[in-house]
Amino acid sequence: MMDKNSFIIALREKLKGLPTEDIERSVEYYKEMIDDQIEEGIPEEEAVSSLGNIDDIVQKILADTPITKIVKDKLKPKKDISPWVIALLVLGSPVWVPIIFSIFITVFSVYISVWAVLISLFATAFSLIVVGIVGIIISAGFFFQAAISSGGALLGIALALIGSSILITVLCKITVKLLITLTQKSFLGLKKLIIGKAE
Amino acid sequence: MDIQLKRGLLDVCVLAAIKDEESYGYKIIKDIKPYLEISESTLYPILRRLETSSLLTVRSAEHNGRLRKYYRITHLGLARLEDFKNEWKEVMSIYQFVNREEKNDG
Repeated sequence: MMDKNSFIIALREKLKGLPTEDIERSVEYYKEMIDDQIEEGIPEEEAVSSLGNIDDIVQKILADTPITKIVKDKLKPKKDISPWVIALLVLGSPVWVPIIFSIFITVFSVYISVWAVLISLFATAFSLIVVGIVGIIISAGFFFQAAISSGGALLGIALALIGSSILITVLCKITVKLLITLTQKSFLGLKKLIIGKAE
Repeated sequence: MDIQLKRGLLDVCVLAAIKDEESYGYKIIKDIKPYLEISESTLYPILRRLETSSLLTVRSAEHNGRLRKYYRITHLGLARLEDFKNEWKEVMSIYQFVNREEKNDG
């Protein structure tokens, strides 16, 4: 059970690293929510706990702050940087700029290739189904001509292809969902890393 | 309710809560609650998003010795509500179709 002041202090602390205007705006909002409830007669501690888990609140605020804004704010020099540091950074840029860039490009291309693989797997599954259906039709033809063993063999293969196709499709769908969740979590993690709260 | 559906509806609900007159955070939640579950932490990003898309404006005013934020709908916000109403006219007629009574034979 927290009182209003402890909640606000904790909130400010957990939001540290975000742009100042975002921190202040969020704090004002939640202060207002608590005060309005108190005004209606709700006891202070109850008003605070009605807001829910503070980490969930921080998570939502973080998720809603565009990553570009966080990076921009981080890059703004808050204190004066010594001209030596600036000179070093500029002179060294032919080294660290390509490095950072290639790290980023590598991660990005790996990510894109994972999606490419998934797409080709879906395509494979689709062609397997088509082949399987054609196989069933042809095996029916064999059965009509009383070529039972050939028909049976072909039918078995066709069904196996269709079965594999269904399996591949199901696995791909699961992987897509996992990948999307992983991507969202990574963005959240990246934001946290930038504002200095690596877990 | 389907999460994606709810998310889209929440935006519209918030706009509807302020369509006739400006309102403040806590009151918006109370007005929406009978229709859709919404928490304070859910409302905050919605208000932010609506503001950055210029569907509403914010101003601070004094209330009982403290500052309170009042949200007012814009023309764009009203237009969004109109779009919503038109979209859902279609949905409603489809609902009538799905829900129609079985015809008795003979």
